[in-house]
Amino acid sequence: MQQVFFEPAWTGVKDGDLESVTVVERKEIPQGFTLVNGLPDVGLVGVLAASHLVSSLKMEEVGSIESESLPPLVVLHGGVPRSPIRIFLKESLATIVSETAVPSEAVYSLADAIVKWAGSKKAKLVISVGGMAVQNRQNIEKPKVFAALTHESLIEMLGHSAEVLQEGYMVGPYALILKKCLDSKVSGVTLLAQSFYNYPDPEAAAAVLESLEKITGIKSDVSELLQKGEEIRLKAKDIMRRTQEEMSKMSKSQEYEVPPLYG
Amino acid sequence: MPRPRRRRASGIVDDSVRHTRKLRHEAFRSGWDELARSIEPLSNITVGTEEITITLDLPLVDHKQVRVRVHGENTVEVYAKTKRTVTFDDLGIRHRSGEFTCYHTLMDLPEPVDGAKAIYNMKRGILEIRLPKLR
Repeated sequence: MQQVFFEPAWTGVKDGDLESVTVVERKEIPQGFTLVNGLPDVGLVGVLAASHLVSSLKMEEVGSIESESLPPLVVLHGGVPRSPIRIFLKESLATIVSETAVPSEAVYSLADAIVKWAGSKKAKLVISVGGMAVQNRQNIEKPKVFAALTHESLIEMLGHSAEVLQEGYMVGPYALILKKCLDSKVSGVTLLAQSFYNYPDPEAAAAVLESLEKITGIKSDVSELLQKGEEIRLKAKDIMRRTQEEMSKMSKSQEYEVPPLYG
Repeated sequence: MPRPRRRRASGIVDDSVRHTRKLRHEAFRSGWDELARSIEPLSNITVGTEEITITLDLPLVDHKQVRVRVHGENTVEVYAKTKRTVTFDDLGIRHRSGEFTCYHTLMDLPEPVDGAKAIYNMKRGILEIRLPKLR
């Protein structure tokens, strides 16, 4: 078993109290993969999209992310305890999915560890998928997808799959992952579909997966995600509630605000 | 000196029922009340200048099965029967045996509203209730 261990320089916790995050590779993960992040956030879009990728592509569980700053819990699957944040792999696609809300105090160290690990594995591209809350979501038939990028050169790759988010705030793990990708010279994209703020949104997850397919060629049939939408929303209710609590602590609502400076 | 207004017996009973339900709600914060066979829905309250808007996520509910009741000026109760009985087994949970037939919630509002003028509609499984504020 290969263990990759990172200690971030600063975690946002008590003075001098460094939290550690461990990326555990239970099977060998080859270099040069495309990494898709599905962390709990607005509308649980990332979790729903990444979980769908894992199940529809029959991805193999190859590792996990462990940290003492995460809640003391395991997820039982088939009676066996698993880490709530796990890494899955199929060919050159790796996916990180979290089955628990990420505490606001763990966000810095988690983002740091993910980007350092992706950098050490020479990841081709780090794509974070998520939601962008819009007030009139009920009236939107087909959610639009927006993108934020580490480099302008990636705009061409987007094509018509997503519209570039020109101005605004991003708050939460994806904001830090994108910034750390930029700092570490790792190519990164964040895809955000219009979604509900605090209701699980499978339609937004389907929209973001369609954009992902256009960018990377990763195909996943989203029809099941849409057909089982109501059951998925009910099943995701509790993690959504906990995620909302963490989003409030992170001042997630600042994403609605207008930044004062241009350029 | 004005005489204190006498309360109707039905109002006192309503208060008592609401209080009991609230206590039970607090005891079952997970939102799955196996005894009442009800699910606490996700909800959101937005305070506007003229009205308060409540939304609730009600998957597996037909709009005809929604009942909205405003208690006094500050509490809204929503009951909605699900299209089918939902069990923990349906959700992949085998070690619990609860089954659920409805959503139910009591919501305290931050400002008084005119309950008689409440309007509501449902779209994409989201119930939206609009309540004009009392002036």
